Amino acid sequence: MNSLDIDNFLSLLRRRWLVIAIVCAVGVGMMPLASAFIPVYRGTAQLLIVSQALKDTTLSDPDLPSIITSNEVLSRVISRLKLNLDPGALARKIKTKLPPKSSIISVTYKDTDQDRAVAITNAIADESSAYFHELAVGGYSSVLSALNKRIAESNGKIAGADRKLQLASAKNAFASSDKALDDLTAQIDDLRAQRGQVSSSLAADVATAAALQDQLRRIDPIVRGEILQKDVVYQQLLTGLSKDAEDLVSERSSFRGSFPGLSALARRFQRERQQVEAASVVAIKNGSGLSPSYTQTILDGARAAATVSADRERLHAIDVQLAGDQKHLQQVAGASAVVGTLRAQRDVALQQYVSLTQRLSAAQGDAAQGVALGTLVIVSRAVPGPSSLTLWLIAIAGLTLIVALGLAYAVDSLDRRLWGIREIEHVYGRPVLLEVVGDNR
Amino acid sequence: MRFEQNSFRPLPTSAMFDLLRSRIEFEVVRPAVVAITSSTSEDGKEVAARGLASSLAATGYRTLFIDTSLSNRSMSKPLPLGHAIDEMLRQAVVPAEYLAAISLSDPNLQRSTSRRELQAELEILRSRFDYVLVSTECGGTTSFATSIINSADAVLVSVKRSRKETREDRRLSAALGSIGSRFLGLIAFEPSALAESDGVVTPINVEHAPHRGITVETDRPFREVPSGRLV
Repeated sequence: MNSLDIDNFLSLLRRRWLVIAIVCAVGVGMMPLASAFIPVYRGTAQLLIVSQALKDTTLSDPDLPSIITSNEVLSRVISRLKLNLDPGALARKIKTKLPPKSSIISVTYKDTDQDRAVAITNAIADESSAYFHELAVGGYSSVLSALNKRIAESNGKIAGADRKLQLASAKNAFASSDKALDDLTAQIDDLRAQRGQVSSSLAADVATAAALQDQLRRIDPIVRGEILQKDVVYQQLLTGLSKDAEDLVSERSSFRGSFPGLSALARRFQRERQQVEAASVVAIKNGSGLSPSYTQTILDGARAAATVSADRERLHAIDVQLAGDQKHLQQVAGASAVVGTLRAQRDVALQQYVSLTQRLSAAQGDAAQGVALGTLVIVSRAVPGPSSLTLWLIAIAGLTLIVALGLAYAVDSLDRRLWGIREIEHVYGRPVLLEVVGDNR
Repeated sequence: MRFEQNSFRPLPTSAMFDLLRSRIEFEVVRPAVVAITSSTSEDGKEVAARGLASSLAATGYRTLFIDTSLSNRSMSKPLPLGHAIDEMLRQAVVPAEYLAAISLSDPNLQRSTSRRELQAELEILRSRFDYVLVSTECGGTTSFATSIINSADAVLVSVKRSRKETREDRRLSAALGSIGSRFLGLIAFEPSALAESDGVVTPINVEHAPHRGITVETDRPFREVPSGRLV
């Protein structure tokens, strides 16, 4: 408020003093009427709630008004002060006020006796605080027992999971080891690689053996020729057969078919021929080693056949081992899955256990401090104050003053006189540059 | 009436009028005609005009005060404008710190003077004086006053406090609204400041003129300019 406002206000008082005086006189005349009321005294105490629930929106606020006006609290107050009242009647005289988003609750008690109003208000505050503390700590004992029970359950789960895990590990020595599984897989991969190599070798050796067999078939006539040519008996028989053949031809050309010697000669020729053939068989049979190429080819064929056979045996052995390893692998994988599931279950149980122990620790701390539900602290106690009569008088005086000033202002507003600078400036729409007052200098 | 050169004691002026004079110096380009008017005859326009004229003259400006009030309370004798100017022009040069005062309070004279004639006369006065202060009654309600307001370089309005707002106030306010920024502002008088004059507003008295001056003789007693405060 600047000096101009103060001047305007003082000017208003000077101009409208009569209005103000009349209204004030009426107000003063009304004051004796207030004395007709019975004076009522009011005791007010303030309590501060310190509660986690006020910070945590997921928790519900404690219902303090209900606690303060509960039968338990009021019964304690009545017995403490030896009042001749029942809790219900006392509760009707109590008013509580907890503004939104505020942690301070006001407790007001009205009585016609000033000392009793103060005493009862303070007793309500004391008993409310004590009862609230009991509720807070008592409420947490059940929380602690519930947590302990759950921790015990969690311990049981962990122990069960450990037992199952040990059994599974014993059944599958290396099932519990990831390295063993990796080794087995690597071995199978190695066997597969070896099998591929052996298969390739077998195919090559089979081809070689087939080629040698074919070669043996192709050189067989040559080999037979070589053998028979080197066989003396065969050669002699063959020479004799050739001579007899020539003789037979000569005889057939010289004689008719009825010549007796001709048939004998023919039979002889047949016998000799059979002997030659038999000799050739024997010669070939006995003279195989006489052909180096044949011998070499046979040796190569035999070697190739042996190689093919060895390859087949190796392949079979690899297949057998591979089948065994694969079967083992399936068994190990199944066992690993079981062990993994058991481990996961154990981990979950362990995490639950850790969480529960942490909550238990926090709850034990809260319970120790008594702030689980919260703590009710007395911020201000009731003190002897003015009665309602005094307050009525003050209210009448204030109201009178307000009405007087308001009426003076209203009358002044209706007056069209240019009382002050504001009115002058309002009429002309320009500022007052100079105000000339009456005191000459 | 006579014009004469005299050496007189300085006219006492209020410090508040000095401050108002500073404002005029700052806002109005010299030479200038400053009209001081009011909606009623008892609003103190002549006191304001004389106080301001005295302050301007004391500062060293060649100043002329023209009283056009038709009221019989005017302290200056009626004087035909052309005749007064003719008289003043006899002076070869109007020196600095000269304060002159003339009265144009003859109704016939005002009626017979056209706006063009008035503007021509004021133009001549501008060439001779730094400031010409014209006190004109009931601005905007007579053609003469309207001519002065429209011809002036700046307009001030004096208002007596505590009197009732009248229709003339609203009429004058509307008339001044058309002249824009040349309407500088208001000078408010407390009733006691004007009551003390008791019908005799401050004259520019020959005997109390601040310096050598060309002035008119007045038959009214002198009263000091009342004190005031700048708003």
